[in-house]
Amino acid sequence: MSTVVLAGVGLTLGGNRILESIDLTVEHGEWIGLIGPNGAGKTSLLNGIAGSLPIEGEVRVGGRLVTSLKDRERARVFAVVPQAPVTPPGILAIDYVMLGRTPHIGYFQREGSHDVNVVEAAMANLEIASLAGRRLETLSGGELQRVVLARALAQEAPILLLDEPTSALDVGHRVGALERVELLRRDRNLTVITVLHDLTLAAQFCDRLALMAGGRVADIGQAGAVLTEGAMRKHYGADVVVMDGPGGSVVVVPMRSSRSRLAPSRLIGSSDSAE
Amino acid sequence: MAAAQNSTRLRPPVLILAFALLLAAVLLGILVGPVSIPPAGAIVELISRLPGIDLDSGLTIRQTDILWQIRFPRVVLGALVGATLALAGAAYQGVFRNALADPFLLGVAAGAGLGATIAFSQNGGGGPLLPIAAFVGAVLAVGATYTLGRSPGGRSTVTLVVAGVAVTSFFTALQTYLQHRSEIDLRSLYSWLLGRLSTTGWSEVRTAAPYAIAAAVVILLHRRLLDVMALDDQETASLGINPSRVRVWVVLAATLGTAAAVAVSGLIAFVGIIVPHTVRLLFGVSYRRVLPLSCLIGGAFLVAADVAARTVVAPAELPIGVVTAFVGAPFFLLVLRLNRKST
Repeated sequence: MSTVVLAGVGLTLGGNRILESIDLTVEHGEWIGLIGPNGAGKTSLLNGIAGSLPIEGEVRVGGRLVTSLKDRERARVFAVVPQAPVTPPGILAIDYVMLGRTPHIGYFQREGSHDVNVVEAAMANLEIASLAGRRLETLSGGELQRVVLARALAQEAPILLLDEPTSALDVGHRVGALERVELLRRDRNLTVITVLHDLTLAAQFCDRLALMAGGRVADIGQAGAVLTEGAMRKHYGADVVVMDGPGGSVVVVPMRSSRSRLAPSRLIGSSDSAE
Repeated sequence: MAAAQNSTRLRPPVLILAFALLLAAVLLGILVGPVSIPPAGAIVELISRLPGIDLDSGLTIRQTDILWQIRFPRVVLGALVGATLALAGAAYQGVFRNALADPFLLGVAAGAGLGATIAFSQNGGGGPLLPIAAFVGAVLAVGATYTLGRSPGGRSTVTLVVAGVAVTSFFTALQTYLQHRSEIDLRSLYSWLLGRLSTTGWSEVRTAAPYAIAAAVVILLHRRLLDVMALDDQETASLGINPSRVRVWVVLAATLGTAAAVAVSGLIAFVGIIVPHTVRLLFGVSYRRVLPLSCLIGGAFLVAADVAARTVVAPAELPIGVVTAFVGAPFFLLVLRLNRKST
């Protein structure tokens, strides 16, 4: 159904090679986490899959080329939540969530009662029905995150693309946000692709992790196999300790590097020296 | 869930209020003037003009002529121009996501001003060439802004606005040069540049109405899409809407409407900023409310401003642009302050 298949995906922006020959298959109902250092191309890959960047190669969903879809069809396949969504002040939460219905409403038409029902159900699902009449600028970070997720949910797309959904949240809200995504995924049989920086949380929630570095997929597989101390040092230039966590998951603990402790002045160049 | 009311829809009471405001302004515009006309008679006379209705208003022929050939065309023109400028302002603010954008942003004013100056230099009082020359100038200026505003990755808001500033400067320079070169009746040129509503029967209304109505229809059709455009271009695209296409249509329509308004009434400043912002403050930021309400309230505002322009220094007349700027500039600062407080 909504299996996502990438074949030979590449991207050049402004003369810079951002993505290079990426092959990746995300099964229907699977949750894939894109991890990797800053500048590895995670966000570009997410936007490339969503069809908003001019990538080379092929992205197919359920066998259909994404580039062959019309704008509105594509928006009914992918719901995208960017890292820093624009939340215009003055707009009420319910109206913002209603924007998610855009691909289902005719170009010059207005929403019908079905759209209102979907929006109210999405907000109820995320337990934010009481925020409906609040202006976006009065919401807390955690509330706003749920409102944005509700907008993506109202889009009723089978594939959810989330760019760092937890970056603005404290530790409690992080787990809560990912827990909600997991519930929705099971409930609606969604395929989920997320960019995540928190490796320990990525290990707990994602079925598989794709480690990106230098515009390529350096490794892909179960968290225990991908998150190794060697890989972290090689691709992140970071010293970490990987431990077994409760429930068979792995825990990645960043360690202060012994080099930088001895010579702080080398800290700036230290991440490059790992290449 | 009953409390969760969606706020974007325009509800009937608000619409009725805006209509009532427009109607009140129109009545005021018709009744105020050097020759007094009994209000009841004026209303009956207007109603009797509707097809299929034949009433005796009891007005003299002279009163009927003043009403029908002088005051009513002027009030209708004011409403048309005010509605168009306010609607175009709101539309520009929407597609450029810039609260201070107005119909003159893209060089419309400078282009129309140049066209008018050329018309004046060819023909002392401007003459019948004036609206056409202004219109051509406005369209040329916007075309230049739009072409120069192209950047490799499409048209960004910033490059477009910068191009508008450059085009405005260039056209203004040409205009000033021409004014110094040729013998122009500066007094009548300036009265045009400051904006004025003066009519000869219905001809101005007939000139502007087709363009203004076409522009209004296109802009109003996009009202829900302008709410989507409040997000950035990438998010708009991810919701299945092509932001460039929406921008092209809305900018074209707003420019057409503005050029038509400028061609018949000169440069009336601030309407495109005052009216949409007042509507936002009172009724919310959704374009599904802002656009229709700006249209109605913009019409009412300009008709009322014209009444002031006609009466303050009677029997002489102030250029209406002076009235709108006098009210508009302080208001503009007030909006800036309020905006700063709320964010």
